[in-house]
Parts: sequence; structure tokens; C-alpha cells
Amino acid sequence: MSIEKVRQLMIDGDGDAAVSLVQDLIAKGTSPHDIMGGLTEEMEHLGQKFESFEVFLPDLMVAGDTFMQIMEVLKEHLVADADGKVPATVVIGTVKGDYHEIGKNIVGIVLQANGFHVVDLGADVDPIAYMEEAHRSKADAVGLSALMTTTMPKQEEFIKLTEEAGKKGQYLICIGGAPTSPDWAKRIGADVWSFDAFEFVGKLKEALKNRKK
Amino acid sequence: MSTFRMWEVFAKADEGPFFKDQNEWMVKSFIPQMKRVVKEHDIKWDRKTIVNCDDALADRLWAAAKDFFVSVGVYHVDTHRVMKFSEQEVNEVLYTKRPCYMVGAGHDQRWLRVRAVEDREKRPFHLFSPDANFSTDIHKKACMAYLKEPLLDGLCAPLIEDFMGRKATSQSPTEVAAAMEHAMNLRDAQRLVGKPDVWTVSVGTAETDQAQIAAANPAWGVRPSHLDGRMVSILTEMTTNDAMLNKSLHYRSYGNVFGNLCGAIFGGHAGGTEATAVLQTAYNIQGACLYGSCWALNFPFHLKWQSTTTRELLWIQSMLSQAMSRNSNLIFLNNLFANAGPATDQLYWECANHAFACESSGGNPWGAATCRNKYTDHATPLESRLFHECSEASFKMRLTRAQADDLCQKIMEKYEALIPVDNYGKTIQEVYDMEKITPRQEYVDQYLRMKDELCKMGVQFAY
Ligand code: B12
Repeated sequence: MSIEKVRQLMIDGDGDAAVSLVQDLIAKGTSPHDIMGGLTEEMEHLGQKFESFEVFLPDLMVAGDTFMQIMEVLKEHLVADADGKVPATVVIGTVKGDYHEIGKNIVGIVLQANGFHVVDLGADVDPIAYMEEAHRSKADAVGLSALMTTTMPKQEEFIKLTEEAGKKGQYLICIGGAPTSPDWAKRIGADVWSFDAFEFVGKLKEALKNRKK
Repeated sequence: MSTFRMWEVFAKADEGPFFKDQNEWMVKSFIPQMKRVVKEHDIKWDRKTIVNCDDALADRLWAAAKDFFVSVGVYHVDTHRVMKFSEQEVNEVLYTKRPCYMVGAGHDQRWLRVRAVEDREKRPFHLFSPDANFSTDIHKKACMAYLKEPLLDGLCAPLIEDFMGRKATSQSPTEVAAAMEHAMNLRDAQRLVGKPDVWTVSVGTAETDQAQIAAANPAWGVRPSHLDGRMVSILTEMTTNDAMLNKSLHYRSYGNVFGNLCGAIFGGHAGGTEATAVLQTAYNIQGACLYGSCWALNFPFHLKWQSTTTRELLWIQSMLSQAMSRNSNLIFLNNLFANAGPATDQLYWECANHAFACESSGGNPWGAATCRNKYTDHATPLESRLFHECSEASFKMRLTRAQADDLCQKIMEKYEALIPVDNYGKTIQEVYDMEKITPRQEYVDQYLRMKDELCKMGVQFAY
């Protein structure tokens, strides 16, 4: 019942109240895993509602922000009784020369809503910056967004650079953005391409599973 | 341009309140302020109306947009500071903003100006623009095809993708060279069709500030002063960066009659229909205050379909046009992005509807972009022709907003259910004879048939 309350506070964006309730619950013995499970479910639910435009991006962002605040509290406890289920880390950004960010932002928010840990490098991101961040945050995947034919080559350049640096295969390389296509992804050797953020979640989960095998 | 002081504005980028990142600013400032203004100013849409007839609502939208802009300011992503404008500063810009500019020269000279709601005197300004990439080998001819259009008052030419067999790549020499080639093609095309001094909004191929500067050259490229227009974007949502400020600095010092390019996203950071209308209207105020732009190009669009012809987006265009026409000297154009592609009936319906939704509200047509604004070679002057002819017809008929709404509701029935379908039609090479630069007969027939259908719905074309 109280997890229900946390879920509601997360939707309302009341971070302070949510954090203090979570601290209370844990002190009284509620499993942090159950709390996280409940919140992840709620975020997934919100994501679905966004897909059908019953809620909009601000609702997701406010809830996502509160979710991150709660995660700060949950983190220590989760590590303590970890069962090996650490959320996968994805580094995302829009490539150098490109300021189109909305698609990439949605990808970030939807990934977060599905329990991924997301590091967003913003727009106009240098290939080296992705590489360094992927290394620093031990990323499982890197997502490069490009919205213009003039910036698609930067996706290719990143893949070439990872090959040259001997880093290809250390993380999945995912690409997207309106002018990209499955053919382009294949041609440049990207691991995952998807049409939109929602399809991406499924494809990424699948690819990560296959990679672990 | 307004008389607002450029350097005082730039200084705000180094002095305003600091937010760690855009997300923090969004969650702490943008989102709660947007919720507040929509509620306080009572902005509501009935989910049906396309052309608004409620003057009080249009005035409240204006007040909400101004309130929002003053409360939130502009986030500068490079310095992480919010550039805030006081109400006094905004009022100064709005008061000193000129309502009218002379653009182009010689026999191609025109007036770009503020229009009124149900304006009986001032024709709409017809800006043709495919907003699309065209293959480099046909680029000059495609420019000529558009320039030949009889109603054309100004042109924003298609972009090119390659330079000397290499993909033009942003921030590299190929982008700079492609931008120069674009500008040269356009100058040539203008001379060849006898419209050397048409006002062109140049050049879309130049994405970066340095490419814009490189393409500016009175002898062969983008011309100074009133001879050409330029554009500088507002980054989504309500943000800017140094590259954009550099563009605005260059345009101001080069003297161009330049505009700001702004598209709030329905379903995006603002949220639903009402909030998107507030944000889009606020963008016009932002462009004038932040960049000193002379006009704005409005393309509020649908997050899923990337089009501007859905019911809610047409209402937004109609609302923002009325809010500004009734309350300000801000000059603006209404950008059309259709879902469908060339040579489809759906595309013609979408073009007609956008024109009728905006003209009586005081708008000016800019278009027509097709195929959700993203497919190479998938645009032709024919759909633009119908778009502008409908806008002109609306003016000639002195269509009232109530009549426009009636008509738009009927046209909406023709395509609303088709919006989610990918119906991308044909390329310009298929629809046009690119040697003669004229449309092929079967497509002219289709064009005339669509005009007939519109006549049956009561439209009286100007000619
Ligand atoms: C909004 C927009 C803008 C806004 C961007 C605001 C912002 N900060 O993001 C503004 C006004 C700033 C802008 C500026 C410009 N733009 Co613009 N813009 C668009 C527009 C209309 C929509 C893009 C968008 O946001 N779509 C909505 C989102 C949700 O869709 P999406 O990005 O495709 O993302 C989805 C999927 O692709 C996928 N996805 C995206 N990224 C990723 C990443 C991964 C890893 C995965 C798996 C999936 C994925 O999931 C997303 C969500 O489901 C497009 C046209 C179009 N239809 O794409 C033109 C367009 C991209 N722009 C264009 C141009 C030319 C420009 C300018 C150069 C204009 C100018 N002359 O100044 C400048 C560029 C400045 C720069 N250097 O970047 C051209 C590009 C042409 C080309 N060369 O290919 C386009 C195609 C329009 C056109 N037809 O002319 N633009």
C-alpha cells in the first residue's frame, strides 16, 4: 500500500515527500527491491501512456526526475542486497555538428522509464567524448543520434574510431534519427538501429541478452 | 529589426542564473511555469475547432505567452545560464518592432508585414519553400522550378546533400563548400528565370555559423541588407547556444531582414495542445528579444507524425496568428509540413487546409514541405502552388474565420484518418520534366482536378 503512495508521489513530482517515505519504508523493513520494482513498473506504465498521448513528455520528465532522486536513496541498499541485477548503462548523445535533441531526449527518457541507467551527453558531441564517457561509466551501450544527412557520417566515424582504438565490441553501438535506416546501420557496422524510442527498448534488451550469452 | 541592444543581450549569457543542465532547468522552471500560465490565463481547446473565433481567448494566449517568456527566459546550453528578460525590456522590443519591411529589389520587390485578423487590405506574403534536400545534380533546376511560380514573393531554396561526390558533412569543408554551391546555384537560377532580385531566405545548406558566414557574399552568394533573408533557430525548447548567437550577430551586422526558426513540439516538452500554443507564441517574442529577428517562421509540429496539418496543430497556428496579429507588431509566417508526398490527393488536401486555417487569422503561408519533412527529392512546386493559391483565394474571398473553420472541418474529413499512413508519393524527377522544368501532363490534370473539388466546396480561386 505504501509503495502505492510512493508511486503517486513520483507521478506528482514530490521528490522530498517521496524520499522521506522511502527512507521510512526501508527502516520499517520493506524490501528496496520491491520499491524499485514498483517504481519501474509505474515508469513503464507512464511510458505506455505517453506512447498513446494520454500523458506528455513533461509528465514523464517530472516523474523521471523524482525517480532519480529516489534511486539515490535506494542505490546503497540495492548494492547491499544485490542479486546481480544492476541496470544496464547507456551513454547517449546527438553527434557533432547536430543540435537536434528532441528524439535523443525521448530515447533517454524512455530508456530511463524502462529501468536503464542513462548518461546523456547532450548535443554536438565529439566522437571522442562518447568513447571517454563509455569507458568512464563502463557503459553497456552507446547511442548516437543524427538528424541530418550531413551529420550521419559522424556515426560512421565513431565506429571507425572504436575499431582503431581496439574498443569495438566493448559496448553495443546503437544509432538512430530520422534520416538513418537499417541499411545505413548495416553498412557502417552498428549493432542496433531502431525506428523510434519504444522499439529501441525491446531491441536493446534483446541485444544485451544475446551479448551476455 | 527592433532597436534592442545586442550586446546587453549577449551579456545575459554570462550573467544569468546558473542551472547545472537543461533538464534541471526544465523540471524546476519551464514545466511548472508552463502549467501555471495555461491555468492562470485559462487557455482551453475544445478538441474540435480548427479556426478560432474567440477574440478573448486569442488575447489571453498572447498574455500567457508573454508571462511565460518573462518568467522562464532562455536557457543557454554552452554557459548553462538563463538569459532573463524583464517585462520592461520585452515591452521595449515589442514597441520598437517595425511592422513592415521592404524585401527584394527592382521588379521583385515586396513588402513583408504584419497583417490583421480577417485582413481586407493586405495580401498574404507568399514564401515558397520545399524545406527538403534535393540531389545535387538537379538542385539548380529545382530552384528554377520553384522560382517560376507565379504567386512567389520569396523563396527558401532546397538544400543539397553532396559536394564533389562526397557527403556534405557538418562543420567540415564539405559543408562550407556545399553552402557556397547552394548560394551560387540560387543566384544563377534567379537570373535564368528573370527574377534576379527576389528575396531569398538563404541558405539552408549552411547549418553552422561558419558556413553561413562563408556563403555571404554580395557578388555570388547571399546578399546583404533587404536583398536576402536568413534564419537563426531557437533550440528546443526555449534554449540557445553560442553558434546561434554568432549567427544573429552576423545577420545583424550584414544587415539582413532575418527571421527566427521556431517549432514547438506537440507532445514534447511543453505537453499538450494548449501549452504548445503558448510556447509557440512565446517563441516569436523570444526571437525578437534574443536575436533581434525581424520575423519568425512558425512550425509547431506533431511529435509522432512530424507534420503541422493535424487538427490540434492547425488550431495552434490559427491561435498564435490571431494572438500576435491582435496584440503586436511581430511579423510571422506559418510553415506547413504535410504528412503525404507529391502527386497524392492527400497532400493537396493537407496544403489547402493549412492555407485556410491561417489566412483569415492574419497568417502568411510558408511551404510546402511534404512527407513529414524528411525525404530527399520528394517535393515539387505543384503542391506549393496549390497551398499558395488557396491562401490567396481565402484573402480574395475575404473569408471570415467562421467560414474558414467550416471549410477546414470539411477538408479535414478528407485526410484525418490517413495521417498515420506513410503515403510518400513521387519524386520531383517523376512529377516534372526536369529538362523543360515543367510538370508532366498527368500531374497537371490531377492538380486541376483537385482545384475543381475545392471549388465544389465553395472555394473561389483568384484566377
Ligand atoms: C525540430 C527540428 C529542428 C529544431 C531542433 C530543435 C532541437 N534542439 O532538437 C531546430 C529549429 C533547432 C532545427 C534546426 C535546424 N534544422 Co531541423 N528539423 C527539425 C525537424 C522538423 C524535426 C526533428 C525532430 O525533433 N523530430 C521529432 C523527433 C521525436 O523525432 P526523431 O528525432 O527522428 O527521433 C525519433 C527516432 O528517429 C528515434 N531516434 C532518434 N535518435 C535516436 C538515437 C538512437 C540511438 C536510436 C536507437 C533511436 C533514435 O527515436 C526518436 C523518438 O522516438 C526535422 C525534420 C524531421 N522530420 O526530422 C528538421 C531537419 C532535421 N532540420 C533540418 C535543418 C536543415 C536544420 C537547420 C540546418 C536549419 C537552418 N538552416 O538553420 C538547423 C540545424 C542546426 C544544427 N546544426 O543542428 C533538415 C536536415 C536536412 C539534412 N541535411 O538532412 C530537416 C530534415 C528538415 C528539412 N527537411 O529540411 N531543426
